[in-house]
Amino acid sequence: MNASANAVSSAQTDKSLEYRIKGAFLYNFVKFIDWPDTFFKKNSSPIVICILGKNPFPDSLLNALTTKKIQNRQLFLQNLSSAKDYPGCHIIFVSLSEKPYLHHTMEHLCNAKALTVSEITGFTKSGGAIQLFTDESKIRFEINTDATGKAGLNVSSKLLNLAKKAPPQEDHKEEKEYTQESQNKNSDKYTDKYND
Amino acid sequence: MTRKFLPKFISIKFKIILITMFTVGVALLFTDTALIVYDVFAFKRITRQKIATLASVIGSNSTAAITFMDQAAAIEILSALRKSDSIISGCLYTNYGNLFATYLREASKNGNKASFCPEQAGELGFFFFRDTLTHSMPVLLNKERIGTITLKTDLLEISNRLSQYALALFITFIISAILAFWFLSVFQKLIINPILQLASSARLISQKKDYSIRAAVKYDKKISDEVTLLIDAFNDMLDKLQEGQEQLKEAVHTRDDFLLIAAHELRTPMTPLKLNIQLIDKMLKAKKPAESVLEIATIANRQVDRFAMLIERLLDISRIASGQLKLNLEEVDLSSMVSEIIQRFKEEFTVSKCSYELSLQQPIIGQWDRLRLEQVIINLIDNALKYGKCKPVKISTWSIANSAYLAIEDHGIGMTAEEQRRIFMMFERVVT
Repeated sequence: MNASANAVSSAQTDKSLEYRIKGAFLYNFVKFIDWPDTFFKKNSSPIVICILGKNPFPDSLLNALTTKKIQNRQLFLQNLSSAKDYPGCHIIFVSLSEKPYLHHTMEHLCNAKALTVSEITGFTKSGGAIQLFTDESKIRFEINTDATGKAGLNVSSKLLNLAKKAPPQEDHKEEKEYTQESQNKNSDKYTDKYND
Repeated sequence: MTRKFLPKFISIKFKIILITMFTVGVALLFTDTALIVYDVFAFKRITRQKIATLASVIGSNSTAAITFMDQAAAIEILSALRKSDSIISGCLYTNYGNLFATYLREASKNGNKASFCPEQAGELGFFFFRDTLTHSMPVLLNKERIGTITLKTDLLEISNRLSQYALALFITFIISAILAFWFLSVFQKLIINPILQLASSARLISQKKDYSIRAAVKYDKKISDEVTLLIDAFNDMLDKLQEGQEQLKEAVHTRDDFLLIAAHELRTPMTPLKLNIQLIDKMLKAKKPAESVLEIATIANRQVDRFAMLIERLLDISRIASGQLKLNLEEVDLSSMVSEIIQRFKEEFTVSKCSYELSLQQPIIGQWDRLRLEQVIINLIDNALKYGKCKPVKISTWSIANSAYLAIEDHGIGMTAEEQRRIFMMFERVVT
């Protein structure tokens, strides 16, 4: 929340803002998921957020997140070089850089007891849990409850209520919305609202 | 001062009705006021609970919307408040106190005024202001405050309830008044009727002067009250009055009888006296010798003495009645007085050929009025001679301690116990 607001208030017209918001979303997803104790070795074990592929998040955001605690657990960030290394991860963010190998990646991750998040179009169709997308210049998400159920995660109904029911149809539409113009509009809207 | 404005005669019926109606009215007023006050307090408390619950539910539901900055979702969640007519506005604020999402009740509906959400979150807690209650509470996610929710509700229901209560109060008041009036009109007879009966009995008695009339007690004696007591007392008083009146009548009757007898007694010596005086008159005119005239005059003189004595006795009676009889007490020996009187009667005893017995204890000295005592003894002996059928008369005196006793016993027809009692009352005499 804090991170998200900071990201919004210091909005810039580049991708940095978008990834600040997406990073904050990642952090907030943790709050609306009931993490079973069996996912952790110890009561004090941290929640491990793994990033597969090229890390798109600004360092400042990642540093801020690791100082936070959720449900009395520290957050821990880890970069994965291969999908095979998923064990021990609680959240796996699949970077856009993994798009060409999505099918192969998901073959590994479909068995993971973890929340998979990605901004790759068609991620939920491929068996991913949460897919981020932009709708009317706002960042939204879609949840595949089959995947979260399979992973043994209870997603809060409040989060499900916010999730988009139908996944976006076309790649190009999503790409279009990442243009400079829409991003400007988006940031203006946020700054209008919060920078008074 | 106030008496001036009140009529002089106010019936008990009216007073009972007035008192009861007043009591009923005051009781109803107090009860209803207490109910209304309690209801207003209870309603405010319930309203507070309701608005707090609502705020907490809406706030909890909005956590995801606030966290993910989804204004549309937040507005949708707030729009659930539409279900409640009394909610004026619902405002969600971010953790920085900035307005995030609003719900406003439609202004046109039921003439409700337009509402708004302040741009900044206000203080937490409940605030009653005029007809509204505002409640602000934090929105928590994992015990962490992520925003503020403010709900504002109107309290029109209170004023609606108050007017409904006023109507109900008015209706119950009227119904109670009518019922109370009807009951009283029926039941006041229980109290009023005996009093009215009593009053009419009293009036009848004073009109007819008939003390045998009694106030009737129609109802069950077991249900006695003050009026029953009054009626009983009234009837008791009548009993006494009637008794007194009868005694009086009897006394008057006795007196009349006595006067008749007295007149007769007085006339009896009058006839020979008059004859003797006429005789003296004739003898004087015929110039009869003085010796023979003197003889007749002596007889007449004795007759006058006797006449005077009779009159004296009558006077005594009136003296006794008026309490003017004075006794001249002196030392007297009862026994010697009796033997002295017996000497005077000796001739009469010998003439009537009757005997007597004397049994006198010597001497019995006491303080008596000599003449009166003599009169008593003479009367009794005279009576014994007259009605003793000439059997021996026993006369005895004796004394025990400080008391002296005189007994004169004849063997005539005697007297019953009742006659013995009556004989000592004024004007009484036993029929012979």
